[in-house]
Amino acid sequence: MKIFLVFILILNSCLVFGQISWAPIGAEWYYNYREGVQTSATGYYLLKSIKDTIIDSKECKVLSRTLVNSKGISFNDGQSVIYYNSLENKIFRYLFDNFYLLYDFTKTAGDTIVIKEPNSTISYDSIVTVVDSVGIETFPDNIQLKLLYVRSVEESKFNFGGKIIEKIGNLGFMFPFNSLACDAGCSLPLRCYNDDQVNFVSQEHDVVQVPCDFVYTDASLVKTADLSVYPNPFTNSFTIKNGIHGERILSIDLFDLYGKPILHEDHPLSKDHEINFCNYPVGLYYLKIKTGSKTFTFKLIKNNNIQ
Amino acid sequence: MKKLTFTIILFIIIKVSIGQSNFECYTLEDPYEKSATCNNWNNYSAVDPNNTPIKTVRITFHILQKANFTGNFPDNSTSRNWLSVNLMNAINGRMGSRQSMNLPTSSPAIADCRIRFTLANIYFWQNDTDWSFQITDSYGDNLYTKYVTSQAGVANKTNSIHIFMSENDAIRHGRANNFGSKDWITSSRIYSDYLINDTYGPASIISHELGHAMGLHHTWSSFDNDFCNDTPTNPNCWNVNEPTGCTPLSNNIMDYNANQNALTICQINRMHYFLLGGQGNISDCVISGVSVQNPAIVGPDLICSTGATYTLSNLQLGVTSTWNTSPTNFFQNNTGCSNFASILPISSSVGGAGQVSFIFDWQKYGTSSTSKNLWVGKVNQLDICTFDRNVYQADNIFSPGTSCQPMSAIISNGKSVTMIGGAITLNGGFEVQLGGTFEVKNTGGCQ
Repeated sequence: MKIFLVFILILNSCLVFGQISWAPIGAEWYYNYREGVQTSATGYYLLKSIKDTIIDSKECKVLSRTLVNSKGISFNDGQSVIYYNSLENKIFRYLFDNFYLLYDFTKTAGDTIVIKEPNSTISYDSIVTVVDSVGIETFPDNIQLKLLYVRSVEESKFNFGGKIIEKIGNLGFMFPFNSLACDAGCSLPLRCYNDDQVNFVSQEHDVVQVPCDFVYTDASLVKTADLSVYPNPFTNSFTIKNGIHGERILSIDLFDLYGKPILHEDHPLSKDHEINFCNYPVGLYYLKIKTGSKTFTFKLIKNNNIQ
Repeated sequence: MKKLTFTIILFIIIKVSIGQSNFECYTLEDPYEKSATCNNWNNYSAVDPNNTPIKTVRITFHILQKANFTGNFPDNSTSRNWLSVNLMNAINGRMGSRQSMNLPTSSPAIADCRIRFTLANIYFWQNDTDWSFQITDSYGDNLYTKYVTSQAGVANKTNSIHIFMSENDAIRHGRANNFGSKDWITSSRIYSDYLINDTYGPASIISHELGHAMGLHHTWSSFDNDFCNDTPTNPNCWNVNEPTGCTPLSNNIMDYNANQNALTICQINRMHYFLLGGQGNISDCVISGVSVQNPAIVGPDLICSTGATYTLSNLQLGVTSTWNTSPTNFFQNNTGCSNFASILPISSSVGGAGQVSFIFDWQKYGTSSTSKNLWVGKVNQLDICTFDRNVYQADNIFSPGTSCQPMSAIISNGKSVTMIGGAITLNGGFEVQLGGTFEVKNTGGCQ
């Protein structure tokens, strides 16, 4: 009976304190990957827990890092190692042969959390954040996970603010990121996280209702050989050239940047159809051309007259 | 045994419940509100940009070419003219004629951010590797070392922002070195843009990167604190209907969007603050447009028990100000960081002469200050000898009073004075010069 009681008490402890695990093997984080400032070309960045490892007697998880670009091409971006100290409820990242604090779920509102800058071997290069608030979020199967809302409070090119969920991490990116580097490609925010306990779709990702591994090629980068619009950018007018064999253009619609209709024409007659557009402001416009079998969308730029 | 098992299960349930209730829960209404400091530009929203001289900032273009001269932005008079006129016009056009914000903001619409760029030099360099834009962290640093600090004729160009223009595939990339850094900016696709005479795209990305160089952070999310409260975050919607259904769309230049044509007053203040030398070394590139001029304090001469607010006219962008009051035992609040001072008397019985002063920080150009004399509360008796303000109020006013030596009180030409009191006595030596005005009231003011 005593053995049974001890067993039950141990089980009890495990149920209360051991229910949260970080990065179980197979856990996946899908992050949005933007390829630049002025493009909607979008791939994704995948972190995946692939194996256990022991460093300095600590049981760590190895995360693979894979970038899939807007054309669906994969690039191996190396690995990261994290360590979950379950007694202290802290996550550490292994960098430059040391463990550095990444998440601390014992902090409360007003507390400061100092995080190591990821690309500097200088120990005092760090990101200072404050905890704005804390809370709990309940997931299916009554899994309750702690929340932290943190904010960077010192000028730094590295950022680590926003909402952090226990087990899932920062809803921006798992690790601090160089904000300035984003202009040349940026892996944030989180789209989805899943493991054998939790399936999470970020609210920000959910806005556009696409799969976690969705890739998107900028429409302006797709060459439509048989249907062209020139010049682009234009100053006062542009011409639609229809070279599609045996098909006529049914309609032309032009929208401004905000989707407001600017112009509509049905059945333009000529194969080289010029549209005068000098009375509209400079900026970006969308041209939708419908043929019998397909709809084409072009992004057009109207430039200043001074050119 | 069944009882024991039931008891243990009950114990587990109670323990789990207690464990969950130990967590703290705070209100999450506005977790990203910034604290008030002297550099919190939300305290300076009433600044009038048109009173700020336009700051001119020097930039230098470095064009990367392939050694075999294929696929290169050409080096000829036409291409140089395209850079120095067309592209520069497009960049400066974005500085001088901005649009209002699409997303809700507390910022007023600012058409002219009072910053322009002037092209100092154009350099052409041939290197196949550098011709291709690289996403790596070291790309910009390497270009700066190779083509600026290691070049005898360029290394001394330390008063210019160096902009490296290269190529890559169809996607336009950019990068800035750091917030407030003059060292380098990178931008890709310049030849592709030149071929189709597109200045809109490169002007957008260069303006965005120059925004970083002048201290601006991205505005797109809570992941990146931009130190401005008037730049709303948006739900990862980078372009209208790309991906499908994406809305609403920001048009802030420091967001990722197709238009990039708006800035808030907080962002404009931050840029001017950096250009004055508040942070970083970008201020080395400012070649004109800094003129230290004290603003004027606007507010009443008399403060009653309900207090008064003093504002500034002609406060320039980027200039921070602190204010203080004296004597300190007259007021509930004696100091602050903002371009206005709302002050309250410490009690309804306090009375006498006081002062509100503003001290302006022009960063590397020093400080300046201005003060305003004022009267606080109810005054029983007042002797007026000189007229250093416009309104005087007391139960009994004597001008000149017996304490005045010599016995004179002269309202000079152009001066307008109002005396408010129960009894006003004008003695010998009181004089209103031609062009001065004088008014007497026996009610009003602090009762």
